[in-house]
Amino acid sequence: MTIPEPLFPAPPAGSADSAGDATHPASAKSPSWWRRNRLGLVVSAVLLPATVFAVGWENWHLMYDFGARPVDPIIVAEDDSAELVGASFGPVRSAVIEDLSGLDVPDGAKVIAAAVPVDPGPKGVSCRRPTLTQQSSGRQWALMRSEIGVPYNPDEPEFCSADELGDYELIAPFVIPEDAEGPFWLDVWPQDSGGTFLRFSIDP
Amino acid sequence: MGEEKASGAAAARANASARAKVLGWARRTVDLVPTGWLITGAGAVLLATTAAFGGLATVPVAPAPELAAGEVYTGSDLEVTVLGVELRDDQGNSAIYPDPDSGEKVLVVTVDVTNRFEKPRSASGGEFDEGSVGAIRVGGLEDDPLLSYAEDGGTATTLQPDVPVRLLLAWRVGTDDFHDGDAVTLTLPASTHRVGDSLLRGTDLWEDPHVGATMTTTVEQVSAP
Amino acid sequence: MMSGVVRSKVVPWVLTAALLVGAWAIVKVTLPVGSAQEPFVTAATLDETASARNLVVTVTDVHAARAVTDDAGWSADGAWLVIDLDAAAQVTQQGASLRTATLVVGNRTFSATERGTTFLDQALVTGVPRSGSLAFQLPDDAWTEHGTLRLGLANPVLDGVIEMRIDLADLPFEREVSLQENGWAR
Repeated sequence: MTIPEPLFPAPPAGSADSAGDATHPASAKSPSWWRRNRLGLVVSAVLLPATVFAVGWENWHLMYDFGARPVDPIIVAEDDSAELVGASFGPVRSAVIEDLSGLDVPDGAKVIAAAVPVDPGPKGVSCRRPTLTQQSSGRQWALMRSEIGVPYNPDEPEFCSADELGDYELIAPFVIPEDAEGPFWLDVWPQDSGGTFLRFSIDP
Repeated sequence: MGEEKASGAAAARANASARAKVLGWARRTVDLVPTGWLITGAGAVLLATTAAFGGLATVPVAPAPELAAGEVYTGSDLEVTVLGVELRDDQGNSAIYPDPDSGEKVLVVTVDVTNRFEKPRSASGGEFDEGSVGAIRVGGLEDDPLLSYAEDGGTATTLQPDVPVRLLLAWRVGTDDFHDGDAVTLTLPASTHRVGDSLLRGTDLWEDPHVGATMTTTVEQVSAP
Repeated sequence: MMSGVVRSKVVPWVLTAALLVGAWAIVKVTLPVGSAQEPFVTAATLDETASARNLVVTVTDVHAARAVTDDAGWSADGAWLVIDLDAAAQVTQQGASLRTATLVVGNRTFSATERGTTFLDQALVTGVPRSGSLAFQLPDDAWTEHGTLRLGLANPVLDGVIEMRIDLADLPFEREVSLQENGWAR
């Protein structure tokens, strides 16, 4: 391997003028910055809004569109009902179950049952099992039925089935520690609700 | 003004000649290295080493060894001993219930297996473990077998390290697919273990499943008493 | 001057040595791959309640047995370690099932069996403990060391886990131990 000769020979004496004055003198005939960059500007004018739209739509779809994960609660006042995805839910009734005879419940725990009337509307509605959240601490509970020895009963549904078109009531029993005090939120999760769910305030 | 230009030109000239001097020196030094000799020498060493190791021809793949019944085979970090192949009319302790009306039968391979890896393994294998017990094949049947414990018929899912268990591998077969006394060939799997390093970082993977050993044995018809 | 010679000959070597020592120190100090995903450990002892983020566990009993049975009639021989425990969720029931139950003995890891009425995969309730038993089938040569029991929810990565040290050599072997039924802790 050999090192090639330098590409540019050493400048001869006397041409010190060449440094620094590379541009030809500005004249009225040179095209403006806008004209010189017109291709880039046109492409940017197309791509910039397209990118904003694409990224923005994707995020909007994830947060607010019908299939979004429900994270925004719609808080419903006590004894009030609310409508979502064409179905009406509420008003919610709740009570502490005092008579635990025949039920498998440990000491130090109590049972709260909530009833949610559902009017599914013309197209029916689908929802998963409601959950109970304690307002002061944020602790969450899920439905308990077979664990406390209550047998399955088709008249006491735990979730909304889209096939049901008449009015029905969701029955939701929860096992919570005895010292857990209300008020609570009963969360109902209809499907395809656009990132929201219903939050009913209850205090049994 | 004139002196500035003159001294500037002189400085530029001095720089250029210094650069030329360094480049010249570098070129002469590099020319001293006998690159031709080095390349020839390295090539000669490479060929000599290759010849010492047997030449450039591809190593022929060794055929999978043939096992005898009861012989222990180690592959995919599992020690497997095939005890026998049975043809049953009833479920027994296998995981398949043959439909009596259509004359279905169950082909059952009994194996003793010990997991020699240091973590629990999936018995039936899966996406990350392609050489486990569930990859054993018999008599040309292509489906995955259903695995159960020989002692109680419970579903076998996990193999604990160094704990020997007896498993039943069951396939659903038709009435006339196999008969008592038929000779069948079993293939036992082998695979290589690797710990994943990017998306599956830390996951144990057994890849490249291939036939590790074969065994020929006869089918034994077992009738319910 | 002497300092010129020193600077050109000694300083580069000193610098090289310093960099090598620094590199060795960095290699020694660096945590192993995957340390960023390690779970947060809460240590527990027998009969003491230990809590991790969404898991509260009390190990009530530890047995070694030559055979295990359960109320449903299943039984199996072998060298078994049986752990009786109570467990509850703390924050939410979503994702709160006892899916991680492993025992590390030396360089081997064992997982709780899925056979019988096992507490593995049990769905836990917030604030109300459930009880049951976990059984580990161990090889005969694992009983001379101590083991570490690790309990956690479905995905222990970056979550809390509860660990308890068990001296396997100290446990006397019982002839048969029965797995508790899964139910509320009484």
